[in-house]
Amino acid sequence: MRTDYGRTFIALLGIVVFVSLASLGMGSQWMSPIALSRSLLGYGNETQQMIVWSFRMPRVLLVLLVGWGIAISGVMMQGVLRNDLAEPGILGVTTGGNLGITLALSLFGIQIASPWTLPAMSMAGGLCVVLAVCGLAIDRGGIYPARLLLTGVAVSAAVGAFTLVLSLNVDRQIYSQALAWATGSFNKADWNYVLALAAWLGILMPVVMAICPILNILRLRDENVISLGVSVFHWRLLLLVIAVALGSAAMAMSGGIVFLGLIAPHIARRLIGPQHGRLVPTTGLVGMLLLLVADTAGRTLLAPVEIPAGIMVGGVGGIYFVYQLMTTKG
Amino acid sequence: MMRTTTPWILWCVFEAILLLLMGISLQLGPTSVTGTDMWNACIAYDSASDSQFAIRQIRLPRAILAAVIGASLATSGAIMQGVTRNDLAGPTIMGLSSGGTFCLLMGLLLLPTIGFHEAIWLSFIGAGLGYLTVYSVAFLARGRITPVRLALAGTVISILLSAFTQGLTIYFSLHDELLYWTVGGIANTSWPQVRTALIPVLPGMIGALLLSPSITLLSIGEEVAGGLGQRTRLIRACTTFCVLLLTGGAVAVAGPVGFVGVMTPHVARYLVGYDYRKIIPLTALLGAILTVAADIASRTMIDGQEVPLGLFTSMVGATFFIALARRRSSHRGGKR
Repeated sequence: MRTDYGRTFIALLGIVVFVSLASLGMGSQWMSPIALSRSLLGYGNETQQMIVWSFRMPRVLLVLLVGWGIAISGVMMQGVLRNDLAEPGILGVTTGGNLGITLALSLFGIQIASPWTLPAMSMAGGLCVVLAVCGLAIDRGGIYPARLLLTGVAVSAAVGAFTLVLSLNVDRQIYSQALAWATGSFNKADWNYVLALAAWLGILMPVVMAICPILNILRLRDENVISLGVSVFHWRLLLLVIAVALGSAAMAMSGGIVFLGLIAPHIARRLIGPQHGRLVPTTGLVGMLLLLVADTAGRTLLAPVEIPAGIMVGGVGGIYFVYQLMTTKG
Repeated sequence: MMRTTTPWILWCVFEAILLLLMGISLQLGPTSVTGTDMWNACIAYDSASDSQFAIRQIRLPRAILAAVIGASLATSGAIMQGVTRNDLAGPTIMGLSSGGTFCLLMGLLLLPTIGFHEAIWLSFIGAGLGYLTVYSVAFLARGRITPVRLALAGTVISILLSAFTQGLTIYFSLHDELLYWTVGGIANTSWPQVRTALIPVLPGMIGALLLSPSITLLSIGEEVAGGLGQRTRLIRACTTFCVLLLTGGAVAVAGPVGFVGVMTPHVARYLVGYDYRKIIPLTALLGAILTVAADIASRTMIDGQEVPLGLFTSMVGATFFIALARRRSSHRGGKR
């Protein structure tokens, strides 16, 4: 069932805006739509103004940006690796990012941690781990999809354990932060994080949109691609690097969020089909929506306890992953 | 690659290594001890002496528990690999450890009246549920189920269950000790825990040894085993039960200590060939060596900090596992 792309996109955008507004009104203090709109326009009372503008707004925006980044990272990885089960969380972007951050903190101390440097450390770590995973999974027969993912999981387990040991070596404060990152929670969102991530995505997104037509070609068989005169290996590597950069920049702000990069592209493909020029932005919107719903549910359902968004997404996404694994062949 | 060394020589060598490691393990800690102390603590125990008390009440149970956990996880990995003919099988990979952890934690948190001894059966049930989930996924899947795909399904289900476990720990804002336990650790061990672990582990071990000839036949193939008059269904059921006893017991006292069971059977097979009557005892010994060594590492690595030993076994074991997944073994458990 393929509908008109423009209409689908506008509809999704509308839903995202609506859910964001709803999320702004929800929390420890519930606000009526009227009170919320007054606060947004700057006519609300002091407390409500503060709640909306300094706590909920940065959090909602950060969730949206992270969801966008991770989802697009996922759709690119699936395209590059021609593997519908590929996604940044499973391929080690998460643990790699955590490793990069923990390593940098234990070497240079907590003072270098800032919203601007975290994504860079996370990218460095994520790139090393993902490239290691791909390198380990390749052999003469190419990359078997299941083996790639399994290698990713195993490398993640080893790297994750190493990171934890490393974090024990540094002081308690950093350790508790490392643990907070590992679960994918947004409870420390502030405007600095939002601005920093927006800047990183602003740098990366034009590049992504410029080269995503290549993804359409890369989904073909290698022989056909080569006959089109495209250097397959170099493009794959470049796209993979960009995908990892996107994913780890997003995860640096949120910690590990597994399976979001898997589900969002699948839903988007159902909605508008396989053309990457359209698929990439749609996937981004779907990712935003999913993560926002997960985060809002996580902070309101069991209040005052907060269940991290990463756990909410991981639960649903894992079930979907298993379903996919059962229905794909080979 | 087949090699058969005289088993009893191997046995003596590894037994010596294990005893040596346990001796080192008894030396570790704030109170310094001498050889005489160690001897007396075992033979002529005097609770007034600090060093003897430390050995007898704190370090000895810990060393023994580490060995028991390693042995039981390794044995259950060996059984799984033999019966399912899947080189990548193991309690961590197939969702048993994480299932057991999840159920046990849920029981302890939601039923405050439950005692730890009753809760152990929950970890047993949880391990069973994890196993069942992974196998039903494999059973319902379309297309061939290669060992790699099955392992992938298992690890994803493990991730899922761990996510739920994490959710529980956050919801109940658990203190450090339980958090430590959920990544696999044996700090603050005492004799009751050793006893608790042995209740399910001993029968599981004995069962594994009794069933070992049949496991050898099953590892050659279902048809062969059936043709030789083995009641394959019954044996599968019994071996599964043993696996659950062994894993459930280990998980109950130590949490999910990762990747012990997938690695050791391979080493044992490399050393003594494909006869499970030899593989199972040797695997148990190797597993014990591995966890006692990991426990020593976890206590000496960082001054004044206890690192959960599950982290070490995961680091070593996962590395080994990657190499395994890369090497499509030609003899068995490869592409079928």
